[in-house]
Amino acid sequence: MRIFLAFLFFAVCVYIGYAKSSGLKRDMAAAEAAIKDVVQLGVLMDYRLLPIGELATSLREPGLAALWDAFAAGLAGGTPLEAAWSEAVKLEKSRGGPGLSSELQDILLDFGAGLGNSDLKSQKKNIDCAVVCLNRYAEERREHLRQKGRVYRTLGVLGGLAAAILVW
Amino acid sequence: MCGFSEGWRGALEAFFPAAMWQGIVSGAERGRLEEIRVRAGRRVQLVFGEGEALTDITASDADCKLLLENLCEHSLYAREEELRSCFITLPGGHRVGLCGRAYMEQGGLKRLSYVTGFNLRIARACENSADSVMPLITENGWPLSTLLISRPGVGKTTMLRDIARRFSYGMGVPPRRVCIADERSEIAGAYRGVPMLDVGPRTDVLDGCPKDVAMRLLLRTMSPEVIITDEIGTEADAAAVLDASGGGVTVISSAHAADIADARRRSALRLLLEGGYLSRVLLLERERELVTVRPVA
Repeated sequence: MRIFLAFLFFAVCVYIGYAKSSGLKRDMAAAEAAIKDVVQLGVLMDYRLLPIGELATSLREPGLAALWDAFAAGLAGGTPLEAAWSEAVKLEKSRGGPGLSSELQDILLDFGAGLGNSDLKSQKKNIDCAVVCLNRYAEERREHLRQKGRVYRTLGVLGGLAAAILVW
Repeated sequence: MCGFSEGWRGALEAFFPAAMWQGIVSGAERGRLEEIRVRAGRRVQLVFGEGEALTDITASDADCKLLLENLCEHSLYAREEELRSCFITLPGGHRVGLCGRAYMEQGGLKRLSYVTGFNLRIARACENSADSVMPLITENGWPLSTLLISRPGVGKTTMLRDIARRFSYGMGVPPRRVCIADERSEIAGAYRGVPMLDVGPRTDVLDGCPKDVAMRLLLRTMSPEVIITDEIGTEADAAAVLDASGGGVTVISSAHAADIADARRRSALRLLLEGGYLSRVLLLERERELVTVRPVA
């Protein structure tokens, strides 16, 4: 019984450490996916001049595809753009999507506030601004992951070992 | 007989705020609706074939903002060129004229913002509107270069569309390769380059291009037999018509003028009338819903 409990505590602690580290990775991955999609959106706006709802359905970067789908569905359902974007970003969060932290959410919501409602030149400026913010955020996350990712994993293993010894 | 698109309700509903749409639909029962006019802070106006009415619905600034957003499919950047020309073409060929605050740059309209006036013109296909014109603009089955003149709103564009359709299908005349230089998407009602109104199977449309440029491009690239264009207004337009006519292509065009004397007072039309290539000049007049055509030169 003790062996089983010790093993259980060890496994839980290791899992928590790795989950925390993976959370950092997901956060960074979401920011990188957002950068790729936003840049791609700018290219599509320039060359295809299609409505934003149609462009959104062609953004397929893994991780944020559901956000764009929800956004396009909202627009098709008659929701005003800003509300559709805001709902899609929040849905992504509530869905337990790939690490949409509140900071990333804020960047995306600011981006959505300027989306679609101006000429192409202003849209590109909005995109450039969002990319700068997303890059800065992704860089922070990368640094955070580099510094703390290994710490969380190590703490998980060490904490698990300590708990197992205590139980034993 | 003008076949108004009865599908306009389904095509336009999604663009309007719900309460405004209810007012429009209930007001539209009283006649054949031609235009819906929305102005910020004022009551929505409905214009019928005969008469007009103000609905009980007053459009707010927010309504206008939402209406513009919906008309542009939430993407003003995709409609930038159309907004600069103060109109938008919708699926189904319906057109919306816009008013608001214009920002100028180098003598041209750079941007239209604070859009607070909308004139939504419901597309109509008057499939027999050119009945009376066809014998006047053909000779032994050959189309003749023609200028249609009338006051605004009489039906020149509708007639040009039917003329294009008839030459393209070969209705009562041998079929012809028809090209339409449709600067403001009014003749073919093209949406994303696809004509929404029937202009015939042998018709090519160059949409959104200035008429003078379009006519020269069409002449070089599409080998048309008939070029159709509307609202000749500048000397460059008139020169392009003369160029095309001189190149052996029949050009059927239209212009705003109350009568032939009025037309001669406009420099562009004078150039055209005195150019020697026009075979027919027809004056269109409208009394109630009846459009009459008579040769004037």
